[in-house]
Amino acid sequence: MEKQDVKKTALAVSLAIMDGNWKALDLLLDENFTYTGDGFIFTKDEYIGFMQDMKSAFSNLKMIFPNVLVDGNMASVQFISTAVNTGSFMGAPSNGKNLEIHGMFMRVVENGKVMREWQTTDLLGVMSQIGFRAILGYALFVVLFKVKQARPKRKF
Amino acid sequence: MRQITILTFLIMLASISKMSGQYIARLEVKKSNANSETAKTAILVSQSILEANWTRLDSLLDDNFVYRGDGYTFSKNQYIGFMQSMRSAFSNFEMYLDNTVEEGDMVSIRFVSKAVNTGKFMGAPATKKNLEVNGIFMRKIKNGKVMEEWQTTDLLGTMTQIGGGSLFFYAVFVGGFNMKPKLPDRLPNDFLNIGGNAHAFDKMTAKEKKRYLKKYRKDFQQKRRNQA
Repeated sequence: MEKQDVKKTALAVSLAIMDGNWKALDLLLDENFTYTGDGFIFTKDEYIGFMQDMKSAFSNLKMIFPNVLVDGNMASVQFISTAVNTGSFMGAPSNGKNLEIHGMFMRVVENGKVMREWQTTDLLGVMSQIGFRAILGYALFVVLFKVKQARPKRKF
Repeated sequence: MRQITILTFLIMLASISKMSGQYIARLEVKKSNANSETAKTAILVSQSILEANWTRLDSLLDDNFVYRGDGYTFSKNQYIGFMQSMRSAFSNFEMYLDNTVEEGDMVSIRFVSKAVNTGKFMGAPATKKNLEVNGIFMRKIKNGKVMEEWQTTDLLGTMTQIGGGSLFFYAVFVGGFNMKPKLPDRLPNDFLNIGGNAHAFDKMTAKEKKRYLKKYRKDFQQKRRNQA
């Protein structure tokens, strides 16, 4: 694949999530797609389910990509997302706050499909913006009481 | 508040596990096409940190170097100070550079670091736990010098591995009282270097390391006072 095509496909995944275009997202991800990020490993359907949960919990979601690097079949992208937290997400209730989320991902693209993704997000920064009660809640339930987050389910 | 502090202390006390044997830090570049000078420079920064080679790290970073990552913005000296503090707090360091993506003057690397937390770091006491830290960074290189770096690390995952206590501390002190951990001072280039490298430091027990660090910092403060 040409460099421009790898870049276009890698970014099209983010644009499909931003638009809530799950059909386009489904077409962009390979059937054996695997996501590894922020302590989670997702299959294609779990990834779509996670993104659907995220999209429904945040309004006015916007993403910018300050740095995009492409090398062979891999794209490495730095992103900054801005959104308003209007719904419950990852066990935390909504707070109506404007959030700025920083992160980076790498996507492997082959024959127009994304095969793999690795991501790290500044989740601690996100929790600091949401408020210390969110971190305290996370510490209590997930870490101390070993309560596992439910696996995300794809809605449609 | 007092109850939370006592509970946190008990949780941290309970989370202490036995430490494994010490060995020299190592770096492994996997699945890499990183043969260019740009990629080599980016990798050498990580290698210098791992080897506690602060003289080489200093020479690799531009004087106007800026780091932006995980909520922090560091100057060159703050970055070196942070890395010195991190390097002294972890033992049995292994760093795997799993993917390297290079374009123009930029290099992005996905890494997995494994280490044992044997010292105090970012305000949190040592837990002696084996940790696996995942992250991605981008380094911008010009004329053999790193000009900028961006990084995100799975800090939440790291804190989860350390134990609930660290998250409690973070929630109460940083989130509740808006307190930011103090930025570490840059220490001289011989920090952790005994006989020219960090091998002797790496072979020390956690207790010996604590003694070395306490004495080094005390002597450094004294020298600073004498100079002032």
